[in-house]
Amino acid sequence: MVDKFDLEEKPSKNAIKCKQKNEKQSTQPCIKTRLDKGVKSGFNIVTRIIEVSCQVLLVTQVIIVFYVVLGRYLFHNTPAWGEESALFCMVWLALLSSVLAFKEGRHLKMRVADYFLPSKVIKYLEIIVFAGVIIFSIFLLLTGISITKLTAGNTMTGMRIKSSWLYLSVPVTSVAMFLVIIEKIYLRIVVGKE
Amino acid sequence: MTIAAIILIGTFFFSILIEVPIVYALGISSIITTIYLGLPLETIVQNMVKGINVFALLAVPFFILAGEIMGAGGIATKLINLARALVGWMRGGLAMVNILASTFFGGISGSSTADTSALGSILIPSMKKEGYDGEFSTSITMASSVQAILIPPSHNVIIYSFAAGGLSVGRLFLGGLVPGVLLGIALMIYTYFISVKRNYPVSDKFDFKKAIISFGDAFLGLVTVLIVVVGVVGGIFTATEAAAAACVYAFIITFFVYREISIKEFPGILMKAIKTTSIIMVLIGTSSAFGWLLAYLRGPKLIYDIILGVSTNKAVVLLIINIILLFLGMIMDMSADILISTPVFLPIAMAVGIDPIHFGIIMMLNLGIGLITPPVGPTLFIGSSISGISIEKLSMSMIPLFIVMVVTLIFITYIPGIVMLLPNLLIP
Repeated sequence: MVDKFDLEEKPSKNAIKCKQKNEKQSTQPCIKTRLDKGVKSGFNIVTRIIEVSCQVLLVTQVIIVFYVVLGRYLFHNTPAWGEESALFCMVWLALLSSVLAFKEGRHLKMRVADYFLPSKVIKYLEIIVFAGVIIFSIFLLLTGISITKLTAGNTMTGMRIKSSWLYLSVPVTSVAMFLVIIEKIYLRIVVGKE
Repeated sequence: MTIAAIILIGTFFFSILIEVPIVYALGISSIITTIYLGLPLETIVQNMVKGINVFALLAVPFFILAGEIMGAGGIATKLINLARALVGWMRGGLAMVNILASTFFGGISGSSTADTSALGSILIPSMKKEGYDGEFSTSITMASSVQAILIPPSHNVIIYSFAAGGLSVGRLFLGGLVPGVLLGIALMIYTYFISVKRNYPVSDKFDFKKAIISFGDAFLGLVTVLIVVVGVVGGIFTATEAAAAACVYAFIITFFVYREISIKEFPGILMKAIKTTSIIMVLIGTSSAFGWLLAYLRGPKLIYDIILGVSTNKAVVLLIINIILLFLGMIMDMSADILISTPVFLPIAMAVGIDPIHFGIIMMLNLGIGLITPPVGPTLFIGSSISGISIEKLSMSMIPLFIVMVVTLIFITYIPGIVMLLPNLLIP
C-alpha cells in the first residue's frame, strides 16, 4: 500500500518548467528551483539528524545492556545507571523514530473507507486526519513542556540527572513533528506535487 | 463513567474509520476523554512515557535488531538450503521448504512481516519458476510466517508477558514452541493435498550429505535462537539481556564469521530495525495511555461482567474471547491489541480456570491470524508488495489457509496440553 503522503523525489511541474527555461537561457538559473532545492535540503538535514540520533540511541542501548550482563557475570558488579540509561535511550528512540514513521507514512491505518467512499471524500478525510495529527502534536508540545517543567525537581536515582531530561523527549518530538508537517504542507502546496 | 467509556471507545473507532493511523487514534481518543473527565492532560503523556519506560520491553527493539542483522547476513538463504535438504523431496517440495524455512527463520526474526519479506522475496520467484501459481506461493509464505509469532523467541510474547503483569517469559517461550510447530505441520498437510491435486513438483532428492552440510552452514545462525531460549529458560539471563547478547552475537557472526556483507552496511541495517521499532514502540506508548484510561473507567470490569453474564462455561467463554480477538486482530495492530486486550480478557479467562500461559499462546496465534487479514494486515501488505498481487486477490486465495489456521487455533484453544506440556515439564 503506497501512502498518500508519498515523498519520492519526482520532478515537480515547476522544476520541469524551470529546466525547460534553463535550457533556453542556460546562463540564468531559475530562482524558484534553487529555492525549492534549498528548502528540500534543509528538510533532508532535519531527517538525517533524526535518523542518526536514532541509530546512535539504538546502538547505545544494546551496548549498555550487554555491558550490564558482562558486568554481572564477569566483574560481579551491576552499575546502578545501567537499566535507567538504556531506558532513557529507549524513550527518546521510540518517540523520535515515530516522527520518521509519520514522515514516510508507515504508521498502520485501517483502509476501509477507501473502498466505500468516493476519492473526493477521501481527499477531504485526509485533510481532517492531517489536522488531527497537527492537534495531537500541539497537545504533545504543550503537555510535554509542562511535564518537563513539573519534573525539574525530581532526580533519576541511577543516573543522577533530572527527570526533565527524560520528558524533554516529548516536546522535542513534537517540534520534529511540526518540521515534518511543514515539509509535507510545503511539498503539497508550494511545490504542488500530488 | 459510562459516558466517558463510550466517548473513549467511540472516538477511537470513529478515528480509525476515517483512516487516522492507529497510534494517533489511540492518542486523540485518550485526549478527548481526559478533557471530558477534567483530568490533567499531563497524565496522558506521563502514561505514554511510562508505557515505553519498561526494562522488559527493551527486548522488543533488540530482537528486531538481531533479526535484521542475521537477515542481512544471508541467514535466509542458509535456512532455505537447510529446509530444502530436509523436505525438498516431498510432493510440493518448494512449498514445504517455504513452511519449514519459516519455522527456522521465525525463531531468528520473531516477526511475521520480517519473515515474509526475507523468505518471500527469495522463495516466491523460485516457486513461480517451478510452476506454482503466484497467489498460492504468496499465501503459503504469509500463512507460514505466522509461526514466527509462536516459535520462541518472539517479541510479541514479551509484550504479552509484560501486559499480563510479568508472566514468566521462559514458560511462554516453551509454550509457543509446540503450537508453532503444529501450525507448520497443519500447513504442510494442506500443502500436500493441494500439491497432489495441482501436480506441483518434487524439488530435490533427499541427500543425507547435503543435509549435514547445509545444517553446518546454518548452525551458527541458529545458535542465536539457542542463546536466547536456553538463556531465558535456564534462568541465566532475562529476555532483555538475552536479546542484547543475541544482537552482539549476530553482529560478530555476520561481520566477522559469515562476512557476506561489509560493515559499511551496518547503518542501513540499523535503519531497517529502527523502521520497525518506530511503529511498535510509540504504539506501545499510546496504547498504555489508552489502556490506563480504560482501566480508570473500569472498562475491564464491565466487559468481565458482560461476558461472564452470558456464560461461565469455559468452552463458551473461550469461544467468545476468540471471536472478539479475531475481530480486533483484523482492525488493529498486534502490539496495541496485546497491550489493550490482555488486561481486559486475561482476568475473564483466569476466572473460568484457564492458565495465563495457555491464554497468551491462544492470543498470539489468534492475533497472528489478524496480521494476514484485511483491512489492517501488515504481513498481507508486504506479501502484496513483494509479489505484485493485489490485496483483494491475495485475501481471496488466503481463505482456505485461514480455515487451516483457525482449525489449528481451535485445537490449541481446546487442548491445553499442546501449549502446557513443555512449560510444565521443563519449568514446573
